[in-house]
Amino acid sequence: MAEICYEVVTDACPSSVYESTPAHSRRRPRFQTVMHEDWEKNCKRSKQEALATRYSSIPRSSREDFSDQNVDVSSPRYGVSSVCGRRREMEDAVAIHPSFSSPKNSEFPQHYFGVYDGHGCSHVAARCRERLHKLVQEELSSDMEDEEEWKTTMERSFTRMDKEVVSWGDSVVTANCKCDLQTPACDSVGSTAVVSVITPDKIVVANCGDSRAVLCRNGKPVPLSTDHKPDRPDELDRIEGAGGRVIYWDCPRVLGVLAMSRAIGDNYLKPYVSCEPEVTITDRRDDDCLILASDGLWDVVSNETACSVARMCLRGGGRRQDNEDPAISDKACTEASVLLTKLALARNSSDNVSVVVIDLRR
Amino acid sequence: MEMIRGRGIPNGVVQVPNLSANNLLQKFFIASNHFCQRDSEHGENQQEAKKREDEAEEDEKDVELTLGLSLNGQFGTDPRSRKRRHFELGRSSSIPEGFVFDEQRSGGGNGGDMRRIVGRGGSDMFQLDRTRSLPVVTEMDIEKERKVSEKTRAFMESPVTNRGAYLTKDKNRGQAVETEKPRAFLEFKIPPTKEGKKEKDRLVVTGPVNGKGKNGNTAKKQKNNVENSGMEKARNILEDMPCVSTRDVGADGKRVEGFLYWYGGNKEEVKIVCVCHGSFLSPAEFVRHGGGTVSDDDGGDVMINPLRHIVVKLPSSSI
Repeated sequence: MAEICYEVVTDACPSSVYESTPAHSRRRPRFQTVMHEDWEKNCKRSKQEALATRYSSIPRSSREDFSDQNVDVSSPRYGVSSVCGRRREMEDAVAIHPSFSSPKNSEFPQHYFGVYDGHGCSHVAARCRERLHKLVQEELSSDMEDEEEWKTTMERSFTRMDKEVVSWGDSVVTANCKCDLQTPACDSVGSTAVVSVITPDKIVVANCGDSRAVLCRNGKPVPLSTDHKPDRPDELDRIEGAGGRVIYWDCPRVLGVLAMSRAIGDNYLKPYVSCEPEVTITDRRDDDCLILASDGLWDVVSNETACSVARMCLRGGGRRQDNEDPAISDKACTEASVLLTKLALARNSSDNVSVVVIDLRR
Repeated sequence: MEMIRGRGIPNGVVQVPNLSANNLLQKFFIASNHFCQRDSEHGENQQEAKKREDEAEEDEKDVELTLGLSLNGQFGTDPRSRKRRHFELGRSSSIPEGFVFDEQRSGGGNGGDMRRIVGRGGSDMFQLDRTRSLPVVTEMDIEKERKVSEKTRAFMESPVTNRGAYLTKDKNRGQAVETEKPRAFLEFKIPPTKEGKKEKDRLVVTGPVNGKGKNGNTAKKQKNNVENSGMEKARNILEDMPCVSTRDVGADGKRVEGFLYWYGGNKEEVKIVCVCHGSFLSPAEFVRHGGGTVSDDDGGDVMINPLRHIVVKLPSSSI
């Protein structure tokens, strides 16, 4: 049987000004109830996924409350679905950190969403899930209006993450993952990373690997990232310029081993496999939603199909309902992510599938 | 057993008209055969009594046959073991037959006939000796262990002993009949066993088929119940969307699949997402999308009750 993990974090009621402490404490039991129910339904959940769920619940307690006018901005509506699919191991990881940073020059927080698709083993993706958002937060400066600043921040964060992963593999002796951190087997472990930081006026996407971020705008898909495949002309030139080769083995592979040209980790294949991300900055308009997903989804579902399905789910799938209720909107995001996951599995996707759907409607 | 015994009786009857044509010696020979059969049929006590009668008859034979010197020698060994007595019986029986035929026929040809008759008589008496020598317990064991084989032996032995005194042609006919009857018996038995086996195989084949069918029906019913209860409970957000597909295969030979995205209180509010395009459809649109027939009657059916053309899959098959 496939291992199904659904991470659902719902904001039951809109936040209000100067919310009292007892009301705040009441939220925790509800969340724990959801957690318990989620745990019961997925008894085969792995420890790492459990850690992820527990970890993702921490930022909620540190959330700051704002006035009613800023409800849409302060509490982002999103849905997550991450399943093992037809693989033997679950190597995907998802990181959701609402309000992970609060710039000094702005009243509005920024939200972090990341999807990591590991290969070879899962400890690199798990490490990215735990650390990459912190590195991004550290690299953020007070003056972030310039696009070059965002690119520099993301590139430095990814480079630090890559070095940390390599050094972490050398230093840590005990581990729970399958490869047991045995060099040189550990050197062939890596992960893709597609990261999105959502601000009130911009969407920043940093991609490294073959995962993808697609923006749904007026029912049409706008790709915010480009897949790093070895047969891409500029990637091919870079690899061969560095002295490497791209061999076609069931698909183009770097040295006949790796099916992507950029990744975090993979020390064995450096410098042919780079960890430098491609950063895009998009201004926000009347957008419908943003979809971050691993290649388990994009290999079998086109951008247009995913965009139309998500948009239809966010609009209630033809049902009559009050769209102003945040709880229902969160449910719609979750249904969209679940439906996209099931669509990928129904189309015989042979990889882990991880989908994050973020509602960007104001 | 009963049939064999029944068959034995007409053979005895057939022998009756021939008795008048034979001499006294032959009469004694036939009488001894009858006694042997009766011994095998009756119990132990009766057998012992008849054995004593046989011994008395043997004494009479010895007294009458005082002409030859060899008989005198054998007469001297009477009080010794039973085995030698059997040996004497063999010899005494063979010589009187030769004597009889000498009187009837003359010349070298008679000599040849005497030799042949002597051999046959020996074989007959040898079989009789075997019958007598077998203990009662052994016979019972044989009956218990191999009923079929024993029946065949009994059937074959009785005609031989009855017809031992007759001409060569009679013996050949008897043998032919013996060979045919056992074959018929065996052939008669084999078919019912085969038929029984075939019937058993058929039963085995049908059993699991019925079981599987029942299980399938039960699973489908349970699935429907779960679906209904889930809908009534306002649908849990974590519940998987059930997979659905068209009942009939479309014109292109493929079956369209989808997910039951929403099932409201009113059936008209059903929404299905097809896998091939990811589009949201109503049940009627889903059936047409699956290649439903275009004829007016079928079209009308689809419009009136499209849910009958849609099947809900099992949860295991979806993932």
